[in-house]
Amino acid sequence: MDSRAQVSIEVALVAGIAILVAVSLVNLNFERLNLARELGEGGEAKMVATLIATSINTVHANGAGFELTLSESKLNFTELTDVDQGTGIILPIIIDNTRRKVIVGRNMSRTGHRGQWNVSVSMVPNNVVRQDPTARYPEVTIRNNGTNVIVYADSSKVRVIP
Amino acid sequence: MSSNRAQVSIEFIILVGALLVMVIAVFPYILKTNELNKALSAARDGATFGAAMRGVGYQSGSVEAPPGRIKIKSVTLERQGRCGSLECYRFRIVVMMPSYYSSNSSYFYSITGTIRNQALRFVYYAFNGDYPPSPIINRVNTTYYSFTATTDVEYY
Repeated sequence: MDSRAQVSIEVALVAGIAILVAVSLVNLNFERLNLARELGEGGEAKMVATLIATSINTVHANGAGFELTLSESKLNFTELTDVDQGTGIILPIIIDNTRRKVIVGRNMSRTGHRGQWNVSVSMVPNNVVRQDPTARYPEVTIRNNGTNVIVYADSSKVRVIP
Repeated sequence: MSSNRAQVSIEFIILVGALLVMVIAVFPYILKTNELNKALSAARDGATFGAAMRGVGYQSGSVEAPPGRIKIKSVTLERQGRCGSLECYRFRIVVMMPSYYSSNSSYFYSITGTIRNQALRFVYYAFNGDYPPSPIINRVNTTYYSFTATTDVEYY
């Protein structure tokens, strides 16, 4: 019985120290989890900007009549805007003709930021316009009509600055 | 048998007692060292996060710096004396970035500011379990220490 009592004191001592060390590292581990997720999703958001900018450039370079459609499998706004499961993109995505940039904003609340952080990718044309999608040109179709590069998307999702 | 067991238990008592005394004696030192190590790890994480996000091309304010390879070369702690009841330490963060950032001082100040701020935000989180309410933070106080941050830049 004596021996058992001694062992239990040791166990309590070791367990106590282990718990203290483990508890002191909990915040550090959560912080690293947030960091990794934020960086990964930040990269995904930039890929979205790159996809749109590349598509606009392709349509611009191929001349009048060329069009391409970014289907829901490539550009799913529901998934992109989901902060917990998705990428945390804040809509609308901005296409700025003056600066020739596609700008994507991200919700950075996971790392405690209240505002959004923006990332931008350069594009070639400065004659991009937006129109509402139609049956002939579903969301998100990008078309060159010879005068402009037209992005068919809802105004809540894509905004074009002249 | 009984007698042997009693001898062993006395040895255990002496050993455990000695260990207990030693642990209690060094416990405050362990706590303080643990705090410094934790702060340094968190600052390194925060600085890496800030550098990576700015390197990808994200902007936190109005300054839009071009993307580039922004790296954290080292994060060290420098003792700065006492600040009231706390010991003051400063993180010295050495940042490596392409030389084209030196052409525009606003790039330089914006990126190093983000890195310092993120380092201290992560230190704040490590000790408080939440990010600071203010978007910009210049100092973090813990039980024993007060932390600030500075940056050195090396171009390549």
